[in-house]
Amino acid sequence: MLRSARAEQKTATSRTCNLLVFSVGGRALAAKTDEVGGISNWEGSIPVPSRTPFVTAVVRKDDAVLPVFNLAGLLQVVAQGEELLCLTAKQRNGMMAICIDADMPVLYTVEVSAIAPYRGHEFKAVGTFLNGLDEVPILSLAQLGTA
Amino acid sequence: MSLRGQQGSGRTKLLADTSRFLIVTVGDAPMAVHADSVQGLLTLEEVGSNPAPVVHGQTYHPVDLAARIGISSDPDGSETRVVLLASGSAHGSLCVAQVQGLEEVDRSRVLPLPPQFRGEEREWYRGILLLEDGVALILDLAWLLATDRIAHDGTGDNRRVEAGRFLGAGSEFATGRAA
Repeated sequence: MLRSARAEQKTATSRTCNLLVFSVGGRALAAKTDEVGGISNWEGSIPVPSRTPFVTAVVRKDDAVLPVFNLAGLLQVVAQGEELLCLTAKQRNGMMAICIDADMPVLYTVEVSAIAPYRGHEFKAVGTFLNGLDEVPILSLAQLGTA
Repeated sequence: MSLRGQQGSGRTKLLADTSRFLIVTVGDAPMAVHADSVQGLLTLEEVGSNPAPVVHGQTYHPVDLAARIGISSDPDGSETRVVLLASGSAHGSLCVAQVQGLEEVDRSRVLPLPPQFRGEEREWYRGILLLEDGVALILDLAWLLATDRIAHDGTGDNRRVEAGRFLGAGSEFATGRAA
């Protein structure tokens, strides 16, 4: 029946998750694409002395000012590459900028059932998935930098 | 309404919609202070060895902004200036690495500090100024010049400074001269 076929199709669609895989300091990370606002060139940041952990700079995007989340600092690495990239994250309080490696991020579609719980404590994560032999944490950009 | 009245209200609106800020650099951070609060600018030579100048009988105790906000103090250089500040009855002097200039900015170019900054810094800044090239953090003068905080910033003997010219409405900034 058409209705049930549609229902099955909807179910099948909801079983996958679109992820953007990127790297920071050579470490592979992923984020849900619906939590990513965009990727652009990293134009440098403006320091903002602050007591908020890992939020100590802003970037200017036209007439908007985005706070920068220092993900490399959190991971204790340094972003790699000559032309670094800026990932705009849809954090729950607004957009945030993250400096990531120069390697162009890659889109993946994974089965939701393939997402395992994240057991680390470095950041809030949706889970992890296996990319070949690598277990890639799926960062929760919406909760980035929240207490 | 008369033409004169219309012009008058238009001018009032124009003035109300703009603010003037002195743009300075502290550490690597561009910062802004409302121009109305700036009483003058001094070179280190004019201030001398003591950082608490007295100008027209008013002592400007030093504000150790770098220590308060947890950044390294700027080394003294040829572009180092001491900004004399007043807000209400509070006065203080702020040592900055560089004075970038005076900017008249439409108030629509003043943005709130993004909510992701959720620490003590929310007391430090009144917002972010969108400049033609870059941004500047607007220092909250009530916080900056709070007397209980300035008292902890420390000062030695005051040195009297004879200021040549000081900031008034529409005037230019000028440096003073140590007595």
